[in-house]
Amino acid sequence: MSTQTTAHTMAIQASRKPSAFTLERFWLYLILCLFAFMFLMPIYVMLVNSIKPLDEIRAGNLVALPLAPTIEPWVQAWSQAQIGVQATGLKPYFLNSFLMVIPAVLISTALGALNGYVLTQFKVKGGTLLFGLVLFSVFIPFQIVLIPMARLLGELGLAGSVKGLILVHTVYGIGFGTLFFRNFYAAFPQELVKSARMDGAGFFVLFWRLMLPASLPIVVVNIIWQFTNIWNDFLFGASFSDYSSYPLTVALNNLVSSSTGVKEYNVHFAGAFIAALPTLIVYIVSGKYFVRGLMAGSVKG
Amino acid sequence: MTSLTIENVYKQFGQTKILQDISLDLADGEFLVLVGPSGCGKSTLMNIVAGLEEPSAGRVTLGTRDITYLPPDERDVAMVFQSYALYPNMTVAQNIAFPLEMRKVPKADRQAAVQKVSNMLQIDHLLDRKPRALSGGQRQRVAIGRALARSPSLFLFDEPLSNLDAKLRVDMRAELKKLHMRTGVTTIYVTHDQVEAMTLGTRIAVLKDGLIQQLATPMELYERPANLFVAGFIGSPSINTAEASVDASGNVCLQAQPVGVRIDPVHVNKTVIFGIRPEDLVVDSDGVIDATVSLLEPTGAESYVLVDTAFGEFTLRMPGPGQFNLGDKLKLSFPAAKVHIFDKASEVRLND
Amino acid sequence: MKNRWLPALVLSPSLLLVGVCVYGFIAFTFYLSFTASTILPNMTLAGGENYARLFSLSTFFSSLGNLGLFATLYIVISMALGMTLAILIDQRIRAESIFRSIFLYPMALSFIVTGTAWKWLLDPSIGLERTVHLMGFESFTFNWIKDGDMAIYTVVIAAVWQTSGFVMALFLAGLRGIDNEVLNAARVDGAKSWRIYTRIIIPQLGPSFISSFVILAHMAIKSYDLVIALTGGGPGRATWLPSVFMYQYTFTRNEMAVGAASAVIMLIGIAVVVVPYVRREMRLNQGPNA
Repeated sequence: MSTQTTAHTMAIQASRKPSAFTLERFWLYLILCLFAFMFLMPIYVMLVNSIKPLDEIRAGNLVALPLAPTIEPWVQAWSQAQIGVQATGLKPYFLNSFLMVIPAVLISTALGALNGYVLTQFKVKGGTLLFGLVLFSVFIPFQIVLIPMARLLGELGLAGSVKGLILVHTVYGIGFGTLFFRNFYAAFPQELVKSARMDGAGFFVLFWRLMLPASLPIVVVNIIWQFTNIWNDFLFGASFSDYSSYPLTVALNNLVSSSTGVKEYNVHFAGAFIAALPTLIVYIVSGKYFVRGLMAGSVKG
Repeated sequence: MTSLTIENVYKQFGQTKILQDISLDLADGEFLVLVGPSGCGKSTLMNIVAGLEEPSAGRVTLGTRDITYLPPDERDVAMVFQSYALYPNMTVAQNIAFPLEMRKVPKADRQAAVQKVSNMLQIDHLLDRKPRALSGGQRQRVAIGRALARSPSLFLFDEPLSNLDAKLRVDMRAELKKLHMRTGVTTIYVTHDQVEAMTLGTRIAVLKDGLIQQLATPMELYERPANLFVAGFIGSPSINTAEASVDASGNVCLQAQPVGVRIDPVHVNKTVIFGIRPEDLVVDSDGVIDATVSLLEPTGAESYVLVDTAFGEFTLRMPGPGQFNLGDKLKLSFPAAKVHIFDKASEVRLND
Repeated sequence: MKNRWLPALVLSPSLLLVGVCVYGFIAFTFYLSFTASTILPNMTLAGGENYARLFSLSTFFSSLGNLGLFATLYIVISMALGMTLAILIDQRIRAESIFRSIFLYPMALSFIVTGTAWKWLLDPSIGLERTVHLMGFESFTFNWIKDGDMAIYTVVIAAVWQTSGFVMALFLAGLRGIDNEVLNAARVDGAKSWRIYTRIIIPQLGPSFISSFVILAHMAIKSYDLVIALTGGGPGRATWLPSVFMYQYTFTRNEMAVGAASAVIMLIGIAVVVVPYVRREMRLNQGPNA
């Protein structure tokens, strides 16, 4: 692909006269930079205003750099801000989110991998229908399961707990995971599988020694995708947790939407940043894996 | 109609030289084949003539126009690609008409051209289909039709038969030749297959490492290859070679046996390469070469006989099923007029 | 395979969980929508009463109206912007990966974070309006977020900002999948850049259009977090979407059955968009190693 692109590059560049070449390119870069500016603006504003003292924000320009930068809003957001009835800052809820995310991601990835493996390598009765049902389940509005899920969690004694959230996110992460792995394993070279079977590989050996190792990139993609989705979830958090088990998103919203008292914008921005950091870091570090995760839902051309 | 001139064209990417000092003159209506192994630069040269790439130096002239830096659409050149490159979202008729549409040819004229071309290529029953519903051979005809519809001054074919299966390739080869005889459009045809080159071209340019090794008619290439590479490239099975020496009078000798060819005595004591084509070796009880049959390859109409000699393994070409068995001892001779002598170091032809 | 039950056995936990927690729950909620539940589920059937009530509520209608407006603008603008960005980036830009990262990073953020950022960005007292005032343009007004009629458009802005990068990524993948030689053929045939895009490239982007539409539409219907964080559903109920309606009626107003009914409506809406796509995928993927 890259040789093709290079040749393509050379080809297209070659046929334009030099002067037209630079003018067009100039406009191109200008427009792109304009868009980039618009996309970066909100996060810039968030960052810059999270280190301004409150009076500067009120008196001044949202885009201006801080005159007297301070990390006080961050400290506030992290450990002192009023969330609901307690002034603990976001720290305990940050922890809740982590405790919730990690098991859910691991379990749903493991199940997803196994499911994808079974659905593609074995004749399962109604396999295509199952695939359709799983695919559809990924799109449902979660409002439709809120009421019965609340009931179920109540019956299991998990209502308002982090464990309950783990269960919820695991269950609804299975669908995605199954799809990712199914698509990958469906394209897996069958000759390798046949040859392994002829060599005597059984069900688990085939999975554990051949297919899973080959699908490590997809495992990474799945983990990243699930992590991002579960960390960023709000609806389930708002519906199934109580004061002690709020995930970070719910706590943040609580912090920002409190209608009483002075609006501490800088603390809000700092809090939003804290909530955004884990997934942003994952995004920056994982680069193309993140993109692959996005693509997994798209139609094959 | 117009003639094409390529003058001193160079192409390099950074340090890599793709083409070096290529000069070609095509007469009007000529069918020039560019042939050579992968990486020899033939596709790059084609792209330069088409306008898809620019040369690093040199000039390309079509008729009276200097087209070196013109964009492809202003060159009046049509191209048939190796993968046919049909527009997947358009029907066959739309594909063929597309270049005419780009030139703002009125609809009625476009339709007439599409009809004419599709009749000629026998694809008129496919006009409403999309490319994905066509076979390889059909797609190829559509690609040719699209190029033909424009009545261009120059046709470029980039390995058009490579993606077809063997039988179809042979059939299409003949069709292309007939097409050229009918339309008489100047054509450059790129291939790596020397049989295609020999059968289709009025002249052939053999390329290697960005240089033209020889530019000549097919028979000239076959009978008087300019260097060892060309000798080995043209002709199948390929030419038999052996090291030989030159005596003081310029006689070429295979292990002290003169082969009946004289070259310039200045080459005395140099090692030269002696070459003889499989079809020119004759089984002769008075022959100078001792050979033992090591392998038989009958192909039906003829057989290839591999023999071990003091100079290495040689191949003979014999009509019919052949009368030899493994292990038979033979003596071989050859007409001196069919011998090719090359300098070992420079690989250049030394005899006339 | 020695043990023919093993594959089915391995699938069963997931099948059970998804079967119960997705389809079982859907059935439950569906049933619930026909009962007389208020604070807690009440299993006595009440016929279609809840749906009647649903469609008599102006809040529900305005939610639907908001959704229609929001979804249309959101989908159209995101697709246009996404496709444009993809085409621009496909022009062999030098800092391509940097630009791509910039356009895509909002997808990594929670809608709550996005809502929080844009909430204050668009707030007249400290955000855009005030900033422009401070630059000297005293007469500039931008108080959409506080304006009942215009607030929904702020949701569109924030949502488009969040997901255009995703649409861009989809179209970029589609563009990169187009055979280079076809483009070369078009250039030799005399097509200029603009024509190549409109006649050859964009028609081949069908799959990208379909994917982005399905995903954007279903995200629009599911939008909840963004609205809550950005406007809280307000001012008043000006930015209520069916998702907000459902949550409010179920958990705050204790009209569970009505809430359930609204959830069913949401599901139907999504099913209309998604089921054709799912069926197409099923057709293209006929079981293992077909």
